[in-house]
Amino acid sequence: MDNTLGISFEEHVKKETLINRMDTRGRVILAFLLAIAIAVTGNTSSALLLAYSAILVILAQIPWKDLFGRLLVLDGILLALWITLPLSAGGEAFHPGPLTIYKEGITLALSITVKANSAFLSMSALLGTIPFIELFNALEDLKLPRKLLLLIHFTFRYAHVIAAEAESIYRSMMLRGFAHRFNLNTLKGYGILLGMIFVKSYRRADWVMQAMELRGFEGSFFSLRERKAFSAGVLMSLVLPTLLILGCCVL
Amino acid sequence: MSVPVIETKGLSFRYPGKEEYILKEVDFALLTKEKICLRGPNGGGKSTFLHLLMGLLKPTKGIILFHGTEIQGQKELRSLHKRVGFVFQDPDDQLFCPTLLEDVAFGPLNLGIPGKEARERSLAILEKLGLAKYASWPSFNLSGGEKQLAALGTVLSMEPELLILDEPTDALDDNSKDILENILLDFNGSVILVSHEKDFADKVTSSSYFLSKGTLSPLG
Repeated sequence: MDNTLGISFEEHVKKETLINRMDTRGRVILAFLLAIAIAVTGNTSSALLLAYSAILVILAQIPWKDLFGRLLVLDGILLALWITLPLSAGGEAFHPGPLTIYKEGITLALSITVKANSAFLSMSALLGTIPFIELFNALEDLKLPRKLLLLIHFTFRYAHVIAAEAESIYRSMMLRGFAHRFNLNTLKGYGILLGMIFVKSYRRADWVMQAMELRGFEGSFFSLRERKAFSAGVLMSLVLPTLLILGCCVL
Repeated sequence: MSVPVIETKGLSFRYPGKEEYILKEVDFALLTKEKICLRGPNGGGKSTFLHLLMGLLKPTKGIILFHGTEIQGQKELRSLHKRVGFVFQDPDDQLFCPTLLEDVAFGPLNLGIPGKEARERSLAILEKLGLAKYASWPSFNLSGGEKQLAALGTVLSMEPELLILDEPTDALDDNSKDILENILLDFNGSVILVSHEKDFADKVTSSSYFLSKGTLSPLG
């Protein structure tokens, strides 16, 4: 898979890891269960699920230095929560100097941070190391609606094209003296960039639709693939990881 | 005299809201197995002309006939699309399936060809294009030239009787250009080629037309 967008960790896909030996469909199911568990559980369970996710990353043998760069982006966004929630959540408060900090806000920010990091780590380990085409096939085998599948596929397929177009526009702007500054001109430049990407994406969507119609597309998608049967072995391989997730949730 | 494969009579076109006509009263006829090249300056209306022929744009005036039948409704358009292969200028518009093989088989499957036959036909096309080794790859992993050839494969698999190519040599290296040249020379149907590469066009087509300022005229 072309990884120019840095979407996956596919460079680690060929490694003979425990995660890579699992059936792709099993990994998708496990990721789904884990996502639900992370979303609905309380603080203690979330911490355990964070540890569980970290173990998955170790089993997937994704180098931490590769992960940290992406975690930094995620946690950079979460930083906004750490700035706002402790100052605004209400409830029991303490007063370091002139500030009023609410414990509830700290707990909430911590909970969101733990859950977001757990989700990121587990999805990186379970899904990020699957080549896109195999992931697509697994979702098809799991009988996701074909239209939804194709929507996912088109998003992924054309994200690369749109990213290349964005890069090309950005380079052209840089070559004509555009620079990052904290001023209106920089904001205007980014506005133009986003606007152009939107317009180009819209036009491309039209062209792709035309190309499909020219090749006889009348609303139904046909596939060359035969769906793989779901074997007992796949289900068995899910038992232990699922029990562990349940264990984390119960504690 | 045989009926032209595709024909235009008094074809005029201007984009909505524009005063100026891109095409003015164009009369054109392409005979069976005739291979022609369309030349002209950038912005001269070549791509617009091709899009009109394919029914992607509606003529402002005039008519388009396919095997003598005027293209009016969806029924005629569908028939046209099944029998005419159009290769877009940008291959990324044409390669949208999860794998290259599925991209090439997309058209045949839509034509109702059984999966096994569609697969075999698509693999044979990919073999011919030198792309068989990439059959299970997603198309975005291909180089620009490979994508261009793959886009051609997606229409060849429908076994069209008319092939319309909009600047297909843009991203091709010499080797890929040779492959394209051989395919066009072997192609047993009609061809409309838009190309700025005179040498290439002269090799694969027998006559040329020049489109400029809305007027189409034969060259040479």
